Amino acid sequence: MKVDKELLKGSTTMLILKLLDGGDMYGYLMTKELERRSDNTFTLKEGTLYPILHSLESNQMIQAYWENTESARKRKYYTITKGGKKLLLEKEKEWAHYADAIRKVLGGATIEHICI
Amino acid sequence: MNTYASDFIETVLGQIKYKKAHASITVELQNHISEQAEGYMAESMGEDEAFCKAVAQMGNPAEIGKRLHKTHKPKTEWSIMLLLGAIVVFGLYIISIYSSLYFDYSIFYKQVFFAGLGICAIILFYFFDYTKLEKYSIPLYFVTSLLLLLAIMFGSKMQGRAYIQIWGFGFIPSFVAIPLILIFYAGLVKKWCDGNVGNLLKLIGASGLPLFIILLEPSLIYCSIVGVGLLTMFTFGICGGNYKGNRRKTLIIIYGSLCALVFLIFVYVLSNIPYGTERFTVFLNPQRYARGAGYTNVVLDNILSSSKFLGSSESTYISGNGLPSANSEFIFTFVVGSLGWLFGILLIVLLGLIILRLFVAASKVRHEYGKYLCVGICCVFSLQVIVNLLMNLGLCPIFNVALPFFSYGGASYLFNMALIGLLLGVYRRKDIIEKLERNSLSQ
Repeated sequence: MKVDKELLKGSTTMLILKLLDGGDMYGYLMTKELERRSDNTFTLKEGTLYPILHSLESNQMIQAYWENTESARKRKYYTITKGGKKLLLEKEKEWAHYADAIRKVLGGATIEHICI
Repeated sequence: MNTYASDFIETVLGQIKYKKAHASITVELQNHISEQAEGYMAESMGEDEAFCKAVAQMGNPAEIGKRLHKTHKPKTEWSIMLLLGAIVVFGLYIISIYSSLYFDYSIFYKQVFFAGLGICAIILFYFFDYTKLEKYSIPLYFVTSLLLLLAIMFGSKMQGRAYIQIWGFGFIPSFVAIPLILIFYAGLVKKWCDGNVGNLLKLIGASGLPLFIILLEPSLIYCSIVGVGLLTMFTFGICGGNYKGNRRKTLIIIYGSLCALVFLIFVYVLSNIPYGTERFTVFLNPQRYARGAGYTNVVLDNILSSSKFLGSSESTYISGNGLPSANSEFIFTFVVGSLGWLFGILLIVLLGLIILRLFVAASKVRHEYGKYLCVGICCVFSLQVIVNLLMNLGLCPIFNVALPFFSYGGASYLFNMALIGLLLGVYRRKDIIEKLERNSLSQ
């Protein structure tokens, strides 16, 4: 199922940080990984990833380094910093709170009821 | 490269005004598109079609470019500029108080002139592209050191210190050399701080050279201030991404041997430089030397202890112009004595805030060469402030250190403006300069 693009917009930063929290990655790999992990729900316009990555790098949430590959291609890898990990934690909390609130409004009470 | 891809990248770059960021963005986007296209081609799609589809996947290039431009554009550190503006105005106000109190108006006019020159210096250094010099760091470092040595050896002397006079303005040669030494030393740290023992030894040798020359001036205090600056840059180099090797072990060895060396130099200087030992015994017991070398300490103590919160002190040393160097080294005591502690505290707060902001700005610079330079500048600037204030408060022996932007005098003014201008210039370019170099982050 395709979701509204606007829904994705606000959480891309969090998703990028989460991906990097699992290990260093370069841009292309991130877009593929995002698609794979979300069962193709998150197919962002791939170019829009880079402005986010660069601004995170400028704010020292992530760091970049270049790595040569077998095909003589240089890849720009990104790695999460301590500050980035902190931001991720905050964003995750914020998201959990938000998701919880949405669920409650949409009738989470009944679900709770069933659970009990 | 495929035309679909190059058209796309060109449109992105068209939005990013600063060319220095272009190279790395081009490679990054190129790789992304090629890799995507190769994936399509593996699914037996034609090359043209594959690239067309890969580019379509990327999104709107103009929009991406606009958003990248927002990150890769010059950054202005407004807080430092505003604080500096406040400090310059406050400094001139204090000099005007001094001028009118002691009827010496030429000092005020000259200081206004120096402030004007200082602002020119800051603009010059702000727009000066320090990265152009990185390549030539090694030769320029040694040339600067050599010129400083020549200036000290063959220049004129004033009260036993090297002194250069140009168009009626005198200054000590190291004021000109120190900013340059910091710039070039940053290049050396970047080049030689890689974990190779030979390079490490070269760097240590190179650090000693200008320090030794400044010591010949003789200026123990500027040698120490610059020494701490270089050491901090060096430490950042060892903790930086290029260093491969045991960081802790290297730091322990370096700091250990340094402590021993500093102790030896200290003993040597105290026993060989005129007024060396006296300075310390006087500091420890000023009252005993009240009629001689301890006079200044006694006067400082008298003024500060009789100062009010607001308004002029009743100390006769203020009304009678009895405080030596009241417009230069001891301007802080003059401020507290003639205007009250409130103004003294304001002075400390302004300088404290700008030091804080300088360190914060330095911490935001990611480019290694620029980062080392900023760290060195922060140290040299803040140590002058700290040493000067401590000696005003009688907490440290008296040295020939002016209070940046407050003490009367052109050399110190220009010197410190140059330092801050350089730092602002590095900060300005922090997101523009992107280099395609391989620097793995060894954890």
